[in-house]
Amino acid sequence: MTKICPICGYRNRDSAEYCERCLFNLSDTDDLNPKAENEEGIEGMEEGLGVYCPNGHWNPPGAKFCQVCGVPLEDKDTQEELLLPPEESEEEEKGQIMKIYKLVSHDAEFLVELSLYKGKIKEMLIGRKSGKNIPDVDLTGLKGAEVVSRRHANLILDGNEGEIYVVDLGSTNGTFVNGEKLKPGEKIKLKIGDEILFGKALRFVLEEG
Amino acid sequence: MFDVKYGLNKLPDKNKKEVQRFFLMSLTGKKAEKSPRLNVSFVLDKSGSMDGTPIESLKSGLKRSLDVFTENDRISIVLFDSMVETLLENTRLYGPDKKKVKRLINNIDAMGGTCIDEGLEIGLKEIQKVKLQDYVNWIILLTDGKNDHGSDEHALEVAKNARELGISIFTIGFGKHWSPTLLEKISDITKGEMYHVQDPKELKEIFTEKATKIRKTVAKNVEITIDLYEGVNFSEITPAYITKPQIVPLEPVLDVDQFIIEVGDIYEGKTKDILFQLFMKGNQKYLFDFKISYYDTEGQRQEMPWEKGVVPSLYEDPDKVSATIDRLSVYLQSEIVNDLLEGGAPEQALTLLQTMQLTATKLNDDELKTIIEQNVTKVQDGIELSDEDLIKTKMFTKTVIKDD
Repeated sequence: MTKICPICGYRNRDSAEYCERCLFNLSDTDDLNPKAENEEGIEGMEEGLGVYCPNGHWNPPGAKFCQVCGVPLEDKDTQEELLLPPEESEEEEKGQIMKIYKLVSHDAEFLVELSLYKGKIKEMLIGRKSGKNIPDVDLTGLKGAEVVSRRHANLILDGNEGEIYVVDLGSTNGTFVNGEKLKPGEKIKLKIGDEILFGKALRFVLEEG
Repeated sequence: MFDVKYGLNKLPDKNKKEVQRFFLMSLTGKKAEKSPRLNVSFVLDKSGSMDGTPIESLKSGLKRSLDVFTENDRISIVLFDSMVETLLENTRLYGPDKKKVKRLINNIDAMGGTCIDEGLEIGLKEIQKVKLQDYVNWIILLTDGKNDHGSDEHALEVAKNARELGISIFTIGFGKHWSPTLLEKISDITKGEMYHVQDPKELKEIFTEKATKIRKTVAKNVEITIDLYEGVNFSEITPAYITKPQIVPLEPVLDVDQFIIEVGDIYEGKTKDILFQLFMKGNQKYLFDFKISYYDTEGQRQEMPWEKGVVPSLYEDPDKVSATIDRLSVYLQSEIVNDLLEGGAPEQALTLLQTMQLTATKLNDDELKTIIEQNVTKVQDGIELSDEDLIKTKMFTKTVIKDD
């Protein structure tokens, strides 16, 4: 479970009593939990129109900030990426999409979409760029990425079972799932809401796509 | 050199897997054995907007401050408008020289635009003309305007260079048209401090006040080294802040397995508070080992012994930690408000401002409450916040407790 800060939109880990980013006292949220119904985004929402903010809230076309959590929506490229579902042509090539997950950084500034294709198993390398070798999920340049190894971990997208696994590749600073350190080579099944920490500082949450 | 006091806002909770806790560390300077030698570079704005009372007050204030400097100290004066002029090269001041310098100061005329970064660069050059290790080194920067004829990026570059040399910068904004963002970044980078002078009269006192304060330095370039125990982590987004006397973000730098945190200087009889945001196991036994190192007023590097195996215990006054968290929240939320207003999301900004208003009420801080209330009213009415509003908000949210 993540606790979304009602006033700054930060996705806090479950243990947070204060918002980790803006130190808002999260126990005060009862009287300040605005527009929860907006998450359903019923009003004015049509298929294919509008944009999703990094936190997954729907917004009308042209919105500059998320109506629900206030995250800026300026970057057009990002917005297009975030529009669901992904392009159809791609879908044909790779087969039928079974399930979509999202790996979202805690500050919601980095998001990777993970599409599971029926009957297919895909491995995605997570790490830092090294010369011309760019991992599938490139964490280079993110705050805290200094302690991420070049070949840090693999994500396994299993389109048979509809599950996602993470494997630590013997990284220097380790991979942690919900605070538990993975042994090198250990394969762990992930579930929605799991917190995955690469190195000491880069924290992600697995969410539904 | 100083007393160290520390502890958590709340004990961990054995029934939980992970908990979030705040660790407050207070460093209070003890009585100094020997006062340091000062090496101060004044970098002063003499642009056209300073004409009249402001420049005259500045001149008399500067002359007055010369009395603080003894013949063991060094002083340099750099003036800037759209150009830079070195009024006084780095020098020792003997009694008779002071008269000469006062005459030089009398001849200052206000005119031209504002180019802060070039002034800073020359100030940094002047200050380095002596062996820095032997002195407490400060640049005192005063401006009344925005960096219209210069580059903010260059100014920050110079600030970074100053920090690497162990030189701090006091930034003083005068009037209501300067950029709190730029001056704050300059002072934050160098672990300096930031001031707002509203009334020209205060210009007569500010330099003397600052020089006197610097004289009370007991430890410079203080560094905390922290070695975390398994299970304890810094928050990755808001790991550490100086929370008193002013809020300054800190970046713990990872060096092999230890975090190094630079916290600036400590003054006699004054407390510097540092707040860490940590996540730990619910049954955490030990938090970390830490050690403090600094330069004494003779320029010698000193290391206090390692404090091993700090256990999770409460700060002697846990309410102070809660209040500190609240103060910092107001500051952090105010930063987000600025971004939201700039990005055209006044409704979101208003929600935050109202939250800040509640916190200020809880903190019993009337000045802070008043300025936030004013902002709430303006944003509600769709009125853009003025430079003056932004300056005041910055100062009241940043300066946590007026000097003790």
